[in-house]
Amino acid sequence: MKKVMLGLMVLFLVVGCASKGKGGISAPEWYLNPPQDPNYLFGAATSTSRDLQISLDKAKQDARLYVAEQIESHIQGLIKKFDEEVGRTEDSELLQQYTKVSKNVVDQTLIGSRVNKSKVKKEGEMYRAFVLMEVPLGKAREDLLRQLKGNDHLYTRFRASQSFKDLDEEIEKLREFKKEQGY
Amino acid sequence: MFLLLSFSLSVSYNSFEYPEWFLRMPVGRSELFVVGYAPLYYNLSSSIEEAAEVARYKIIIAWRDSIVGKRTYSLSPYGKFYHSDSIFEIVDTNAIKDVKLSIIDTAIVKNMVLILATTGKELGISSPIISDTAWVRKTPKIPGWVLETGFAPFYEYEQSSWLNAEKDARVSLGMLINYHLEDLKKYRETSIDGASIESVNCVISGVYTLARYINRKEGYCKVIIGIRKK
Repeated sequence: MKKVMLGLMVLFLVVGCASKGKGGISAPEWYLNPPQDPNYLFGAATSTSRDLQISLDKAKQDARLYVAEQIESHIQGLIKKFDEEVGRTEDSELLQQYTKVSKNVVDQTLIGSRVNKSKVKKEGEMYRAFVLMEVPLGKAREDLLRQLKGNDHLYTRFRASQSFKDLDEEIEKLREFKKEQGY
Repeated sequence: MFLLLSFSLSVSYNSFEYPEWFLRMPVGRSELFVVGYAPLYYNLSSSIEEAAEVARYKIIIAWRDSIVGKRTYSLSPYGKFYHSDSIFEIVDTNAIKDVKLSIIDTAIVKNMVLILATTGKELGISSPIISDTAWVRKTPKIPGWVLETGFAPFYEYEQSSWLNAEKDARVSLGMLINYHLEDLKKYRETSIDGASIESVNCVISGVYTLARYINRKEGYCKVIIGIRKK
């Protein structure tokens, strides 16, 4: 019986930790354990603000940053490896490597980054936003780019028809004018 | 009893007072459906006239919308701070005079007048493609569509909340298409600081508003929009 009770207590503790998350915040499961998918990169973030919109904007930006860092860290890994190889014979090179690690610069264009899941909740006077951002890779990225390509057709069709209508009207006016002038 | 009470509370917090076409927008094959908003004036005709003007403007935004700008943030040992937002939309306002609208329905919600208008010739309403509110929790993937959502808090005038949520969704859609991020973090022995600039520069067109959701308890409006696969 004692073992059962102990087991239940451990279970409650685990469940309690999972739902409360870091710092006693009730966080969604997808924030604590972002999904894994070989066709997508995921970034989960949370942020607070007195303004709902700002809390969401900050969380979205953080989530995109996490994703961008996942892409960027690959490049940084290569640089680090190069430095390490050179550093085997010269200590000064090794020192340079530590200087680089202390700064993290991201300069990344993301195509197809979108909010997969989001949640907003009030914490007293503050809003807390949770965002799960996804960025497609490989085939998923190609599919998205194909979908986005040439979605200009509605507007182009409208403007083209309007332009031709205007052209017809102006030509007609010119013909009338010429007729009046006796050309 | 408790379950019944919870259900009735959730219904009252949700958007029962809005018409169905506002919450789940009809989607045509080529015609666009839009909602125009206006405050409820003494003369209803003035409200409808203003709502129709908003609807015309939304049509030209839906046709083609350039989204350009930046948001900046800074990072300090005290957290992340929002600095500025200069993201704006550029639309071809000359096209507004050429927009031919048919008003299908009108509704009065609180002190707001809503109109449902279409660019199509038929006055019938096409079926919505989103039929429930599952999209509020998770942005769905519907074949043939690229979808995004937008949020806005409650403002004094509810139409401002909807207009802002729709703009937020368009900006998010723009960021989906082309988003650039510059970020610097400096790690010191005991602290961290840095700066971030996110920017967007793209054109979206053929944008359909698909559904809306209001959460009075948490105080926000949410909108889902999409562009169709060619």
